[in-house]
Amino acid sequence: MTPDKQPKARFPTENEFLNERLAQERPPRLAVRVVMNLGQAPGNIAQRLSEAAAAVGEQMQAAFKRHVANMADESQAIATKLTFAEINRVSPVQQAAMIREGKDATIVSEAAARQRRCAPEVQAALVEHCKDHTASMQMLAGRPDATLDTLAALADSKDQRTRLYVAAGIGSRMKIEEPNAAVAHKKAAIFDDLIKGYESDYAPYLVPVCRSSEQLSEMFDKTSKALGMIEVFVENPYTPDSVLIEIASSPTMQLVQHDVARSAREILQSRADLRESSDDMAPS
Amino acid sequence: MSLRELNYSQGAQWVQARCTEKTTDSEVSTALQALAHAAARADADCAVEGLFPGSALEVLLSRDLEGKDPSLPPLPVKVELAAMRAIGEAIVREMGETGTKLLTLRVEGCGEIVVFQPEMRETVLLGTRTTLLDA
Repeated sequence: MTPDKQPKARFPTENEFLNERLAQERPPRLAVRVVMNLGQAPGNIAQRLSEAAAAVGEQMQAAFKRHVANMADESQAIATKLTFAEINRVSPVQQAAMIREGKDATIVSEAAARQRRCAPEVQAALVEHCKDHTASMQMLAGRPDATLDTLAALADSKDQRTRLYVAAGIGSRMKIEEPNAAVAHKKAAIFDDLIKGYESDYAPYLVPVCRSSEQLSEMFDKTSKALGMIEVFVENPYTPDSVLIEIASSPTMQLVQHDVARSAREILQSRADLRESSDDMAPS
Repeated sequence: MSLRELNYSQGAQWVQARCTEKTTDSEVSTALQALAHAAARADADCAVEGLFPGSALEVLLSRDLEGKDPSLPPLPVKVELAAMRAIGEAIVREMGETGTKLLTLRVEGCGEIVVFQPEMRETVLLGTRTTLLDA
């Protein structure tokens, strides 16, 4: 094709854009927000673009349903009741019933998730009925009182920010030694779920509490080597030598993150010294 | 003119002339084809974030409601992240040089694409009379 068939790209100023558009008669339109975050987890980009495009129609229908539900008087009433649930002493069971009743409206789930106290029953109802309400699930995952069941349900969320909040929540809880084996197992399962869909931003939360050299190595491969991201690997005693060698020998690290590279070299040296001294101590 | 006929290599050259990202014409051309494929396949208007790593650019696709081009450009097998980064970098650089924060692109049979800096979101929604819904 000839260059003149090329679609015309323009870089209008804000005024030019608005003047031109507002002078035209156009039907009102709806668009659905899609977050790609290709930089975080690129994967197969072509496939992701195609899948996102294929899913957008369905997302629009669901979003429009919620938009309409938000306008309904019933939803407004339920949201108001949930906003004042604590002061009106509405029981968690009643709140859960309200969430079920107003499950299509994001104003309902947001009001429930925004409360000062969010009882486990309320959290369970939110996860059960409103899991596709992105903003509400982000709020829920980011709550310090989010239960392990809530975090487990949201660890495989399609929303990157929700998963990041789950990583932050589970990261801080992994620091606590758990006497109850069932609880410890539940925490480990959430941790493992997050590792499966690991993204670079999880590093500050998951790396310091990870005790598996294999998982640390896996996370390192998927972590951006940008400033401030690598220290956590050097500081973790379970980080395997192979990762430390990569950090210590990387020319970029030596140039840009000199201190981190030097720490990695020192740790490698002290590990080597330790191995040597234990060999000397071994019975001959 | 169908989406298949777009001159992707010319678009790639435009990008390459404005970016420092190490990538090839062919990789950028392939990335542009993948974007065109996605735009043609979308069956609802959408505002996309995080499409071009390294930039905060957002993209609004307003589809043609009538006369939609049925031809779908082929989906490339592989798209390089560097190429997506290069496209974003080139657009941001052009915006910087022209003192603008918006790029509009009209593709017959597909619709209009507006690429914009996040601070222009309200302007773009107002200008296109679009209500943005959260997924």
